[in-house]
Amino acid sequence: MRKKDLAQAHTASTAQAHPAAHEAPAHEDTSTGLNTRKLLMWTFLASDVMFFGSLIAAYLIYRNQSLVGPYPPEVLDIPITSISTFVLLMSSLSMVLALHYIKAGESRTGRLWILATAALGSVFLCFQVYEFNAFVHEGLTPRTNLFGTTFFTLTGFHGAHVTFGVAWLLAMAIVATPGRRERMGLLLGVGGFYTAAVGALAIFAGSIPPLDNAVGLVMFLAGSVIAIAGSYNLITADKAQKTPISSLDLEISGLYWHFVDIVWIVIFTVIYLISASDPLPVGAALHGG
Amino acid sequence: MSSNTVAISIPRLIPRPTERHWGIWSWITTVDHKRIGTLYGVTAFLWFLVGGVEALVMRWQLAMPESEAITPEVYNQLFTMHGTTMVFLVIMPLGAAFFNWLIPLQLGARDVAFPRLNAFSYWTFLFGGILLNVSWLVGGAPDAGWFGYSPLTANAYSLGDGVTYWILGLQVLGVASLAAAFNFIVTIFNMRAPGMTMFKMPLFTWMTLVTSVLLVAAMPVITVALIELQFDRLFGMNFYNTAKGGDPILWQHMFWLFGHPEVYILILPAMGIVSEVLPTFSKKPLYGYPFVVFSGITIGFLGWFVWSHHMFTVGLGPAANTAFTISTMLIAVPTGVKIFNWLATIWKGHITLNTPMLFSLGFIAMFTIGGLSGVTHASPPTDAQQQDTYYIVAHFHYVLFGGAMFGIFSGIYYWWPKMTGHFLNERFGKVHFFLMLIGFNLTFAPMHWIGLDGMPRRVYTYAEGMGWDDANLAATAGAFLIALSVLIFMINVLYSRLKKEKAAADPWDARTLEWTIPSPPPEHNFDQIPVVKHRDDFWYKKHPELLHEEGHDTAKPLGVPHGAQADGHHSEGGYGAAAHAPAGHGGAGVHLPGLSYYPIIISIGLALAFGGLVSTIVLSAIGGAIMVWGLLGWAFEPATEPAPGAHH
Amino acid sequence: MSAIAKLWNAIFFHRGNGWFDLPRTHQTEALPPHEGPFGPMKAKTASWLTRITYGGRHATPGFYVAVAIILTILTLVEVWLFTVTSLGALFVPLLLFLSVVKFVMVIGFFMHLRFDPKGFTYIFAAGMGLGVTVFLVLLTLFSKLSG
Repeated sequence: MRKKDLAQAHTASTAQAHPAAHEAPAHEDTSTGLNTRKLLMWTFLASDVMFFGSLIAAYLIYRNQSLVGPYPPEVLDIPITSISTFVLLMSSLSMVLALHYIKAGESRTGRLWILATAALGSVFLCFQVYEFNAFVHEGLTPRTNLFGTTFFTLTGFHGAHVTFGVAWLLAMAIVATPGRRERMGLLLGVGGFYTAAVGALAIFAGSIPPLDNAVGLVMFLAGSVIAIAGSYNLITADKAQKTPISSLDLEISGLYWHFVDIVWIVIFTVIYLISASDPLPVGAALHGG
Repeated sequence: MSSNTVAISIPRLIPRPTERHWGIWSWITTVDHKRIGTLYGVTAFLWFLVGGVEALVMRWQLAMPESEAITPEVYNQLFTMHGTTMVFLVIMPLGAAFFNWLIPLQLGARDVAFPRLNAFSYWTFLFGGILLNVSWLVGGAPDAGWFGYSPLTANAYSLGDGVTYWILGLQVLGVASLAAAFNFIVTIFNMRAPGMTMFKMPLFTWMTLVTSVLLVAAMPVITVALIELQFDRLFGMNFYNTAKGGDPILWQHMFWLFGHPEVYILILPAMGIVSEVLPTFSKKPLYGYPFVVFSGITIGFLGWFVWSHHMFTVGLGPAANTAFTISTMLIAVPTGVKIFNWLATIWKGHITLNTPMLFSLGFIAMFTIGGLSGVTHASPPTDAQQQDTYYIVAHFHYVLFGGAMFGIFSGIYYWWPKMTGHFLNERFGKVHFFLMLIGFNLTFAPMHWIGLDGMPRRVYTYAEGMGWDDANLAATAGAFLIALSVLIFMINVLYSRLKKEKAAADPWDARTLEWTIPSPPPEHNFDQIPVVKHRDDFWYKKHPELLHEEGHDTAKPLGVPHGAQADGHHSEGGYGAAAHAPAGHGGAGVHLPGLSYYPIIISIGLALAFGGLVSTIVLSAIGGAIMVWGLLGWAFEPATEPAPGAHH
Repeated sequence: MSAIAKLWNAIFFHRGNGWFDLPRTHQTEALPPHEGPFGPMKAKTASWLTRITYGGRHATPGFYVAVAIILTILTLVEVWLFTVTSLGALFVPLLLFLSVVKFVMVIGFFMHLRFDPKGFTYIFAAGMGLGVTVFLVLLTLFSKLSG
């Protein structure tokens, strides 16, 4: 009985005692009734608000203060960013669906949604790499002007958050996948996916030095085939097989993931839509890139 | 975990350390909050000596006009490192030492919510401090002042890597503070003993909560400011580069946006300590408990809206200056409320004038002086006169030394018997106190005068005949008196350790839960988790007649609270019996979190990764790899090993 | 005891807990299951809002998809507003309003604040509130008062 007294140990022991009950209890045996680990995550997110708040504030303070171009309206590509925003939004949907199915005990479906989330996050990152690359080609580097400095810092840290989230989700997907055959399928699927992604980037960015268009095309095609072959193993996996991750673990990584999404909601509005409408400074054409 | 182990063999990167009760490995792998508290305290005290020596060298240089004991370059490094060390490596971690030791004990918990995260905080603090101080050995410490005003920190004006070490060291220390703050917030919210509502918590716990909330919100701001500075220095970005339109004032705003809450992060733990010591040695409850709590919360909130009073001379304009004057004067109100509550607490009490009490009284007096001189520079015209003079130096030393350090010494003398099982010597303690009080005032009181007389701070030396000679000599003499008092404190620790004057579980007739268990506490803290019925519950368990006497209408006869027996883990005698339970009896059934190597591994990786940014990127790669390895190992290692026999 | 005396006791008396008590311990009653962040609102619109945002059920995949569709539409509206040149001073407030709506929908439904105990909402709202206030003050200092 005494081991109940550490709230955290208690949470763990609840999971042990009822391996079949995947849903966290509505009311935890803690002083506030809140789950200890979820409370930690929410506190962290509240703190991360201050982190991104500081970065966004620095961006806004230096808005329209650049002495030389390129200026935001000259480089920001709203159509492309709208697509990547949509991709990140959909990754939030797939995240919440993953949690729903893992909670409902449908591990196979849940696992696929976890992978879909990681994949959508990776696609978002590809867009970001493409965008950074394009900006550098248009003459905007972090050193060029205040816009470059603040823009790359803010979106770069957001991208770093997404990267960490993707790594976290992939780790969860690997742990969540029981069975040798499924795990091999997972590795093939993920490996193929990233090969295809790099290939696609090489084609569209057209400037990743050792990869010309032909190599990029080959990588894209081969990677896609491997990814589909690997995914086949996952999709046809035993439906009844229980996943060995707790829904709480997934819920916490999900909170992180959605937070990264809401940060992007703010960034998309404040940096892209609003800054891209900023008037060019007088005589910008003289300096413009 | 059983389901996991059945379905999938969890990879263990290195085998889990087994239980060892002695030796260096038991300290490296420990997740016990008491041991981590001790590590914090000892490490921070060592840094206190380092920072103190830095101060003594500076005072030696300033003792005489036109002295050339050290070079101006070294002087700049000394005042920068003295400030940085005392703030980030001494007062904050000394506060953390008390948080670690006391929060679980005062809450009636067996450990903090995340024991491994707690160990990680400590190791990260240790390596962050080392990274910061490595700069002394590799070509010069940072020399731009502890608030590193731009553009002094720009590559053009700060040659060498000193400032880069400062940036990276503070980043690592920030991670440590954040991890600890998250941990204590969750612990205080979620791990209170049954019956302990928020407003039955001890005051020290409350102040820890406010401090942690401030840390959680303030640390990201300085992190971003440091990132910006780091990117400017390392990658040639333009945040503070005026040639590209950057604004150095942004740094000042970002720094003080963090810096002012930081001031309260430093002082609130000491306020919490004093709020525990005064009631105990006055044999009276803390006067106006809710007011003290709400004053702490108000200070924590208002502390966010006063930052620009550090920048009155920047020229923000009359509207901004007025707004920040008003908010700065407002924040003196809750602080004053606390001081009056402390005075009312000792009023007509049965006062015991021993060392912890003396330090607490010293705290009230010195902190009041510092607070009042602080109010004087809430007014922009006066502040314009005082800015960057020794008056400011006097003010913040009265707050941070006369305030925070006196409070911390009070806490050390007060809880020493609980932490070690024996008392610190009273006679040495009183000598320590009076020497420190005299030395402190001798050092910093004259600075008020020479500051108002115009002596700027951070000057390497001063001309003869400015009228500052006597005051400076007195300050230097005082500084060495403080050093002597600290030496006496160390002698006291050694002497008491040899003498071993045994302390009982409750040697001071105190009020809070940590005194219900033996001194020093067993590893599992509480044999039975206590059930709390009142504020200062232990006091009313000992003195039920007082409860009745005070005639509170909700007073109920004491005994086993209603819900207690239903929970099944409370005995007839409440927790009173726990103190007398045979040693080892309770420990047998308690399942404690397992030891772990991963906290220190991740901390090493983190420090290497940051250290690499200033030396070679290869080091960063190695550090990053170690971190990833540590994170994976951590994730796959359950916080608490399944009890033997729970499955298989 | 009179009401004033009671209040006086509650505030000043040493063990006067009643007024400041934050409930939620083992002894006090548990939270009602799945109570939303806005508490039991009585007004008609409120209950209508409650029904369409939550309705006392566990959210289904269909519900999440519906939320995602609304979010997508809002994003499209934002991008469309970007192409409209005649908005003038309305442009920025409109965009900010839309992104706040999206923000609230994601934290409310995807991050389950609508369904979880209120404590999480308080924690996050406190961080958001502090951050927004502090940085608005900072931006004001820079944009209005520095010149």
